[in-house]
Amino acid sequence: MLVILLLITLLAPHLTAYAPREQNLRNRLSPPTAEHPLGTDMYGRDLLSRLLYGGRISLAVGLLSMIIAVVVGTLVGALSGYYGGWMDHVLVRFTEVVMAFPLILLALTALALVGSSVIYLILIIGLTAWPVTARLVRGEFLRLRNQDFVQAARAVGGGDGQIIFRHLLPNALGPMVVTATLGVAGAVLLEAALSYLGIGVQPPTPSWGNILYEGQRYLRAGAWWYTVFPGMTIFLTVLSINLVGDALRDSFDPRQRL
Amino acid sequence: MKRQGPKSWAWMVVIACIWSLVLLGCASDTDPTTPPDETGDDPVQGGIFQEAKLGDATYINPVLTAESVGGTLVEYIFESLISVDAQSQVIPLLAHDYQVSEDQLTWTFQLREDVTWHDGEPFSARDVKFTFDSILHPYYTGPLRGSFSGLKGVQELDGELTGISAKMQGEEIDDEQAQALMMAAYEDWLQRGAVQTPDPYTVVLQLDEPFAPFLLYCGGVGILPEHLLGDSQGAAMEEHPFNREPVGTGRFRFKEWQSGEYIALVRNDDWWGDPRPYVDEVLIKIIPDWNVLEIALETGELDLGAVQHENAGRIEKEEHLSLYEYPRFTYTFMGLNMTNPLFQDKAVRQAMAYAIDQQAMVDEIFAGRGTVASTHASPARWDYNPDVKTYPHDPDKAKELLRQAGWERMDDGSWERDGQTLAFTLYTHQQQQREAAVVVIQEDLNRIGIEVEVQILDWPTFVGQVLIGRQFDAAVVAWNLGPDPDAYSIWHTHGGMYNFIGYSDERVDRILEQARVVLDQQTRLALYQELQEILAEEQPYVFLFYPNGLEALNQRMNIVDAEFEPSPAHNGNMTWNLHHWWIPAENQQGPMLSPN
Amino acid sequence: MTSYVVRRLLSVLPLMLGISLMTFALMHLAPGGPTTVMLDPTMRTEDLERITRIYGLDQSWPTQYTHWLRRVVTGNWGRSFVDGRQVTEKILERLPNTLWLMGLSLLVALLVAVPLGIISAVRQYSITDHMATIVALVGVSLPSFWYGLLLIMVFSLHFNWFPSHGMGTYGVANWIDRLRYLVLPVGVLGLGTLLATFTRHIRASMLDVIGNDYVRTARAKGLGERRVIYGHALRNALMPVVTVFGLTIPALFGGALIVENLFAIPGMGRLALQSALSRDYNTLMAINLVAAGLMVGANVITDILYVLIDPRIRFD
Repeated sequence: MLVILLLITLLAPHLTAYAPREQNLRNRLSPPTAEHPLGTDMYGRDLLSRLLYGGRISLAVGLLSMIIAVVVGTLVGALSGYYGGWMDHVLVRFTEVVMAFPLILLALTALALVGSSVIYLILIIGLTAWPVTARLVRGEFLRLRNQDFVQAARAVGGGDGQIIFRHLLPNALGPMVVTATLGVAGAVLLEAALSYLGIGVQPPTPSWGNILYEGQRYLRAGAWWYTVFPGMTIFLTVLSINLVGDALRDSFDPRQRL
Repeated sequence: MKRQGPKSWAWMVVIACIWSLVLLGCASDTDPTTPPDETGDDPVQGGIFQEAKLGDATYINPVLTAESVGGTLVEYIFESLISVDAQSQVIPLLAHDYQVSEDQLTWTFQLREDVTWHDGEPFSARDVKFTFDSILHPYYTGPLRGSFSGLKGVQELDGELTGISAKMQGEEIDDEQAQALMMAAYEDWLQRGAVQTPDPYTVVLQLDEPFAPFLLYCGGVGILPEHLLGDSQGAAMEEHPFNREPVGTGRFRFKEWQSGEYIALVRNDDWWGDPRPYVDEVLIKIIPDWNVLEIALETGELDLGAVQHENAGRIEKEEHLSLYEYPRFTYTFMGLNMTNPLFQDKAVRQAMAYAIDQQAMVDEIFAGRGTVASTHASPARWDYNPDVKTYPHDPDKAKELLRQAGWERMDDGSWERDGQTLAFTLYTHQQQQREAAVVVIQEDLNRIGIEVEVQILDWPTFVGQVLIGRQFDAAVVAWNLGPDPDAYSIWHTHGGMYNFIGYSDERVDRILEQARVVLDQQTRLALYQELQEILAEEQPYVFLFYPNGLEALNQRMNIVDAEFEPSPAHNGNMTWNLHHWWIPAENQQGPMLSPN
Repeated sequence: MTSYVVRRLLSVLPLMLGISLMTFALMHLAPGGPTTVMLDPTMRTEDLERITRIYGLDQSWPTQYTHWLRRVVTGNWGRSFVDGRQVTEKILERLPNTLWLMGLSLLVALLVAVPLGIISAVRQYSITDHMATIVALVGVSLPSFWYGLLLIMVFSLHFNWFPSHGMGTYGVANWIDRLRYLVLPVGVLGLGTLLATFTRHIRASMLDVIGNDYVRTARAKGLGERRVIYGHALRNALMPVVTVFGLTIPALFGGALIVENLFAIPGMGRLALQSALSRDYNTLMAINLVAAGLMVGANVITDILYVLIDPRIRFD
């Protein structure tokens, strides 16, 4: 399902006859028709192509920011879990500090300081969302650190880097993938929320968040398609990402199903 | 997804769809909650008038507030020497009369003697002098200083202050010395007697040279009570608790301010004017979400609130609401940076004016709630010239103009001349109408081969980068004009910050200078109409549209007797004569939710 | 016990220091620094110069940080650039509204999540279990500003059951009235992500506990199912939930930010948004500090509660 979604947004130019920017003011706010299966927006642009191209941005924000978060989180968690001691102490405190700030408030502050652009958005979400991964990796490392196979690897002269990347990380991968997946869902929702607050992806670049927010203005004027389709797109995407995350969790830890 | 994945997945989708359809189904048909009122005979007192604003006020202080919510409250609580009516004609307020000397350098105001502050103290000329002096204080932080540059000696004072701060920046003197020098310069200026009070009810103002807009610029400033703020001029005024519990002389007294929630005022029973307000209280609610604000109008939780153009049609159909649509002093435009060689070419400017379909913009995007603009003016003001050059949508003519000016169409559709491509970046700030205008412009210009990149900035960044920094090619923004047609600061070569496009035209400079020094309205009219013709021809801005004001009023309010007309010169366009409004006794319990 | 509490409280100090450092860094390491942030169209260059000096922005950043920290510790948090008021005053008048909103949402979420989680665990794979899963998943997958507006359209505009915005009817000061205004916002905030997180955790830890020996023993002793569940299992199952509590607070604050803006509730979140949009640097810094402090406080309290409730944890 998610793969399809990704493919669809990547292949967007081949799937729709309209450019996302192409306007037709005389045909604005048209309900779904054969030509425009999801209707048109306030500028008479094809909503389907807007959503497809918007999906590129929204999913890019979700995926790239999570990649950053996972890399940073893994690094911090691995260092802290593997070496322990003062480094662990400092890094755990640092993680706690970052965790204490509500993500949306940090994003708001940072975006107010540097202005909003897609790149900043990705960086900011990525650089504020990593503590979850860090805690997780640290926990796994602490658990695995003294197990036999790690001791054995160390006995045969494996370097720290080798032990971390060969032996410890692969074993911690499962839970990491789960958090990362759920994190993508969270980032897509966060992008939408920031659009609502006026600091998300700026038009005319389409993103699911700003299309939904735009459409919300026309909801009471009767243009239901303008808000229902983007709303359902976000909802179904986030839902399916969450379902995948849950399924992954199931396969790693059957007890925790739900 | 494992085992039962696909099945439960499909199920969830179905449920979610049904659920959202149920919600929408419920939402689509609504019924009015408050019945239309019976038109009563005579005005009666009582009731709470509730209006909504999208944002909170900052200061309720006439010399400090720089936004419209604070400005509206200032109009309720404070009074200025004179004011204007819905046609922008001068009406007396605290000054019952005024004269100007033959050389037009001395203005004399006779003040009312029956005015008291809300705390009972009598109002006098000292308060007026205090207010004006405060604005010229070296550490004054509000937005009004520019309006007073015509007062005697202010130019010199400004020169001195600038010199002192230059010395401070150059580390020649330290902060304390600089402060002492600045205060000394200010004291000197005070001694020169630009603002005099020969008796407690007369104020005499001296100017350096004749200055036509002076009456509205300084006569329109709300007067502060000296007995409460006397020791708090300059930076101290900004921090004074007065700004949150103001005391004025106006129709309403301040009652309560719950930050971010509401501001409450009560009728001033000791007001000198007639009629005294009828409503007992005025409640200004702060509702930051447009949709929620409009819903509150529809449910009857509000009496008055602004409406977005896309929902005006829906609001119009509500039986308990009246929609008011009125022209304002605002026009939206695309400013072109004159330092950019592209825009020094008049053909390019005119071609863009032809290529952009302003009529479609107004009709479609703004649901016809506005008028196409082609020059610097407002159809709501007396200087409006309806016969200037217009630019009806004509892409072919646009291309023709470019060709004639030596631009060549390339194979990829773009235009080139002397190795330069006709392409630029267009900026605007976060405001729905302007964002929409930018998107339409981008597409319209793209259609004739002008590539436009769009950047939407937030307001502080926009101000810093475009208005102050002048780092831009073109920018969509709007001017909110005042009741006086003086446009010196926007179009004169030495206009300053507001001439952010760097416009310079000898003819225009001459007209602006002349129109400032004559008082005769007919002469000024002729001058400003000529100005409008030149600007329409030159298109240093591509003028876009005049957006109309849109507000909905709950019909329980009775404003028939007031021969009501919205006034574009006021912050509260609708409520400028709120003291005439009344609520029939049977409606005074509302507006509230009907319990069902 | 006392020593544990003291130690836990002391451990907050380095944390708060880190938080203050981060807040400070956030503002000062931004491109352009705080001077551009404070740019105001009406400001003259000499004013800018003056502000730069007043705030010591021309000094090195460690000096600036110590100066700033000293002011913060002594309670001098500066004034807002927007309306010249003390920042502390602005925050204090907003804080109660946010705390009310967050507290009630937590309460409602718990009241729904506990029974839902128990039933899901006890009757694993039943219809109720699946329904709970759906509710939880839908809750985390919807943008709150979107379904919040739908709720307003349905319950305020159509049915007229609840007010669309605000904190209470003007001039009416009673609890029932205030609660009526909080129904929709709390519904959006409490029954969204929060409910999902709680249900998920309660169910998981309940499943965990049910499989434990002492529950089996209780069952074997012939105790009724009800007593087994509520008497033995629940108490133990709720333990891990307490820890989740602290972790949900930051997300809850983020959610409150949206809800406050939608429902016109004058809380900290809305103040943060306004300050961010108007570059009100002092206020924004203070809100970050207070919010992070609250989160730390919530964590300390949950930790201490945890120790108090759970006899298995020793404090040495």
